[in-house]
Amino acid sequence: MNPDPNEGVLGDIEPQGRDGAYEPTSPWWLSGTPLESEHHRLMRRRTVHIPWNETTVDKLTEPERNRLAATWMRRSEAEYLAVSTFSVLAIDLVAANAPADVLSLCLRAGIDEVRHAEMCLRMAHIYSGKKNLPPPGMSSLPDDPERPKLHQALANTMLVSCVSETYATTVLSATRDLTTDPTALAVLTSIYSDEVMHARLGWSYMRHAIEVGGQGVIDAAAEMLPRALRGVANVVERERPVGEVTDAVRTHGLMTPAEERVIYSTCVREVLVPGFQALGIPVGSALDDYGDAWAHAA
Amino acid sequence: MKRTMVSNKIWRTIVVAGAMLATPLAACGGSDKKADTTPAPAPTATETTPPAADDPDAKGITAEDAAAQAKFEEEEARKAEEARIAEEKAAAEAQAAKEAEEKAAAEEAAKKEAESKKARPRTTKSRPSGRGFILS
Repeated sequence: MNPDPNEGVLGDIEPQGRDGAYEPTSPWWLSGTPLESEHHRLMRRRTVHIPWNETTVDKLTEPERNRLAATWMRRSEAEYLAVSTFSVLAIDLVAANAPADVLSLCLRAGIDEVRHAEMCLRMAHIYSGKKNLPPPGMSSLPDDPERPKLHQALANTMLVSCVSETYATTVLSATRDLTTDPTALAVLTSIYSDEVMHARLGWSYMRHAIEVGGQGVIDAAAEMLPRALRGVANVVERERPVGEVTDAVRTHGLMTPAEERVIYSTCVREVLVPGFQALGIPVGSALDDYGDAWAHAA
Repeated sequence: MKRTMVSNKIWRTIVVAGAMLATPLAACGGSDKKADTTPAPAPTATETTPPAADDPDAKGITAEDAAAQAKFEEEEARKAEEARIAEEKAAAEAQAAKEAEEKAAAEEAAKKEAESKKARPRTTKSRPSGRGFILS
């Protein structure tokens, strides 16, 4: 029997299980209609139990709480946008006649992102006491009607899944190692466990697309790679909320922007570039673009 | 390459598992993945060669036996001829079907190519914004 690749990584997560102690995560974000019960049924699936009452927020200073509230609110906005990201990606995959398993996992990823946005909102609420909503918005993915749909789907899968989600798992994994607050740790673990499959989806589809489309797909992937790497680098380089990342803040799931740069650079060098090379995709100047100079530029 | 612990975990659980890197890519970057949905080729015709005819004189068989043998061989020859005609007919039909399939595929490809050049409904920006878990 092949060993489970997730053994020792996903801990006690039961992928198809249900959380018997589930409670509505951000009830202020719901519609107030009978849809809510079906929503909760969806959200109970594939989740890690979140011990919301075990938060250690009361040990933090007000500036520390403000810093954490701002970051978790930003995270909720990013997760909310990711709902539309996977929705748009699903359109591209449908247009490219992607296999059924790719389609179902892509659409499920969108549902996962709804759950992540809810959890991040609840975390922001814990630190700020405010019941905010994520601002409306829609993710933007490149759309080139001139190219074949397989290439379009492959290029956006590379951006969304192979690069962005693979990096997300890397940074989440590193952050979890620093986190001791039980609530923050469980939320990060829950998100991480989903992101693993979101990232794997991209690498599997890329393999499939290369098998089906051959050299044309490899060329399209090579053309997209610098844009995909830059797209995530834009997120890493973005300005951060005001406030010091103290030792106490770090135990609630934060790193400094400088640390995140190093993680992205390491991810490019040790995971992304070797992965694309293994699939025969030229990586151009990726190693130089995101090497030590970029990693320590902040 | 020596990887950090985190990178190694991500490499193993996502990239290697997802892209099936343990399975080599087909030559030239890809192969036609149709095996499960393409009909298997028609089985070859059953061997119809008659059993080797022994020399009747050598075995001392009768004239009746020889006549029966001649009749048997004549029958086998007729069956062989019928089988040959059937094979030729099947081959011609297969060739016609193949040509029709290729023509349909070419038409479908042209249709898809034309379809791909139509404007799509969603808007776009020229620069990807990326999607990453905002850490701090």
